[in-house]
Amino acid sequence: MSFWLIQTLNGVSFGMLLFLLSAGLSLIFGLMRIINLAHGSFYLLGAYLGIGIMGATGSFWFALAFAPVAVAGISVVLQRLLLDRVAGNELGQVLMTFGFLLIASDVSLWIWGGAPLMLEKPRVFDASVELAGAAFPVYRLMITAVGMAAALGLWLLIERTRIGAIVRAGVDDSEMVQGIGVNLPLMTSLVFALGALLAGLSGVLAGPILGVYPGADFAVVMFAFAVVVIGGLGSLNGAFWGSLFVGLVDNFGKAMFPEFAMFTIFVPMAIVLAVRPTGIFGKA
Amino acid sequence: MYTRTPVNLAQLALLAAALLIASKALSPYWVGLMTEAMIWALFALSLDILLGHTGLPSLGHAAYYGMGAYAAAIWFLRVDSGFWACLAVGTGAATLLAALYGLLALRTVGVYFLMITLALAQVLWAIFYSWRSVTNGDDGIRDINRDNIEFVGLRFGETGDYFLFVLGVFLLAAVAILVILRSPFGYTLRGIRESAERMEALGYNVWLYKLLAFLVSGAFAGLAGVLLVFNRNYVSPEAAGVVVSAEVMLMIILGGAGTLFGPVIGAFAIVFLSHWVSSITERWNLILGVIYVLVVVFAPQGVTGLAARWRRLGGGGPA
Amino acid sequence: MSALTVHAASVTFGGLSAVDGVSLEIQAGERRGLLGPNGAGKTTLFNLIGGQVPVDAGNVRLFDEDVTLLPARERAHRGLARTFQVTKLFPNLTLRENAMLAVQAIYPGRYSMHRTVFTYRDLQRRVDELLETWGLSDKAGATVRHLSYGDQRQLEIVMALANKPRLLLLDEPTAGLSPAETTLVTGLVSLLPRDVTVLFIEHDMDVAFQIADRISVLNQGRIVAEGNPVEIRADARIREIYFGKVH
Repeated sequence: MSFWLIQTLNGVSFGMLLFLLSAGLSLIFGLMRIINLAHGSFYLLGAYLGIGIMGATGSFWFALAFAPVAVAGISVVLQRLLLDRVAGNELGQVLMTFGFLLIASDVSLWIWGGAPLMLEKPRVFDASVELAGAAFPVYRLMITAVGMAAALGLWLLIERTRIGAIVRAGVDDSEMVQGIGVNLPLMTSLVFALGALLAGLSGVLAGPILGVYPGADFAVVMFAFAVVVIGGLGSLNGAFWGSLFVGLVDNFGKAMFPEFAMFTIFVPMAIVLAVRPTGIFGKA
Repeated sequence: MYTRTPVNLAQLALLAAALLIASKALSPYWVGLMTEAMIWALFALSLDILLGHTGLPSLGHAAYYGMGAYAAAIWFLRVDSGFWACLAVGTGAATLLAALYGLLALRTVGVYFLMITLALAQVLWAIFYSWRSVTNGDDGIRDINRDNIEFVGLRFGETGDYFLFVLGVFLLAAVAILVILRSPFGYTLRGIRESAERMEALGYNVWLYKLLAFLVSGAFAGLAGVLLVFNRNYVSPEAAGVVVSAEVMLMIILGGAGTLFGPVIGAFAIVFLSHWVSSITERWNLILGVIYVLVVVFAPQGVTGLAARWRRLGGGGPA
Repeated sequence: MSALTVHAASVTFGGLSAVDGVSLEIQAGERRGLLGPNGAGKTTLFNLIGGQVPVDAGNVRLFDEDVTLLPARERAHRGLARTFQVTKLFPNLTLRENAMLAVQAIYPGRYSMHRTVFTYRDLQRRVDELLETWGLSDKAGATVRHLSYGDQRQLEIVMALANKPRLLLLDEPTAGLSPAETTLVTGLVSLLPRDVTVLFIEHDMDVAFQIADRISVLNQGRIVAEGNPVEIRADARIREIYFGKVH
């Protein structure tokens, strides 16, 4: 019993981490119709910058607060300066963001070296909670809480505020939205920055449990991909349920069929691709 | 008249002659590099059939390349070490995969198409990575050996001889692709690229042509994969990975998509650049990333596009 | 013999009825004009005849054969050809290549991959003849996106004529053309032999009355009047539809 509970909780907490990572990717697609292959780089930079900030200040909380913001800042610069030039050119966007991925990956390697690094979590999270006879780390519970809070926050923002209404309108018909006087460039930059911020946040949060290493950006992009393919691009719902699904499947998969490694995620992905290519909650 | 085929054939012959002469003069390292460049060039030409000529940006093209390599390798080790059998199996497996993936991917358009092709390639990558009993997982297959293969007096074990073989295959394949692109089929593909709706209204079965383009493209990519695995004597899951898919796409864009030799130029440029840069710095990935960005921003029509623009500006006449 | 029979055809887009129970019959050899204000459903009607859009109700018969469920390409093989309101050519190909693709569409060798298209001499001859006949030979090598709008519109019509269609649909053939170019196009259409039936959408009344044998008027997805040019010209309701009530 406790095996199932622990694995489920692990899967859920990993899923929430994935949600922070993928929500931005999904929304960015909805507004700007870009697949941002460099999304994994936001995660990577978040983790590395987090380690850097923590190294300089000794505080995990500083890292948690500022690394994501720094990542968001970098993302906006890239988006305004370069990505905007290829608006509407899907292939160009793919190649350009892949270029960003390579650049960020190599610069990180250059600065922080090739050895895997772990972020140190604050003492307060060292504890574990007793659940049905097994110990479950408080830290993972915290991640789950942050993920759920972010999901709730994003949902409120998008469904219940004026800004959210504009974003939703932009997803449906970006030309119309510009026509009624909305500052679409500003909005897209904000959405992009928010997506990057969340991804960077997921990097810092993942630091103490997954660590960071060269190649983590590629690995994580794969997961984000699986989430948006299964859940559907452009849909917050899709990002949420897709993340939970991928988190649970990956966890149970690794626990029960370790020899199949990555495969457990790609089977559902392949099935969704074959049956409903735009994803379960995706818009066609 | 309206054909430049004789000119293109002459250009190919020139390239072949240049490569031949170079191979006699340079060290085995360079000969091996030229072999690798030709394999990438063939791979790039195959993708351009879909990308440049049909307008289908297949982002997971490494799937067919990797499948060709793995199928040939596994056949070599477990069934029949006859080279031609492996070549047939590799190319055949890649073509079948292209048929399956084409059927799935063609249900989508635009960005979704890009995504699906990438996701499908990732599925194959995951299979190569996870199915250790067959593919040896991320260690890859390393026991490939071409020392015992002989053909018309060429001993594949010799770098120089294998180079000649690959040169021969490359030339034949390039001529075949040239003819295909100039055939009624090829022109139809370009019509589809320009306006699929108009083509349907004219009477063409657009979907069928797209699927056939997948098959042809996949077959040549698979062939390149077979040549690859025998060149390096090993294959790893990365052969089907996103880095390879993106890099071959960059080669096409750099050289010029939809042209006949753009992909070849792009492939040779990147292969030689990567080896030269890697010898003087560890930061090749950084430089490659910058190249991606620069090409997209400044030369989306590639080198051949730039050349055409200069010709038009310099040569006078209507732009 | 009826060239085209549309029976009670309806097309709805998300609750909005673009074409509402339209019935229409055109005799072989006829020149039928389709008039109506913007948004009347004329292009949607064309799209359902052409096969670009499926009908939600009703049927379409082409030379007495039910083509309702056939896709556009099958209709092309049965002698239907059309132009589009917004020019749909192949912009990065030459004028000759555009024409060649039109001619090649029903050619048996169109799937062949083992010979270049230039070795099919009969195909190439037919393309040359087509361009000769319609006076486009001197522009054959030009890239289409560099052609003038008038030339492009002319090319569209020529491409539609490439395989001697039995029914030709022209969607606003003179839209955006200068008076000289308009005369060229109306001349082109009047020169067509009577084994080509022509259905055309027009906004230019003079052109319509000049070419048409009969005229159908569409408003809000329905046929509201049908008759020869004289009858239609005299019909007060038509003027109302276009120009509003005169008080």
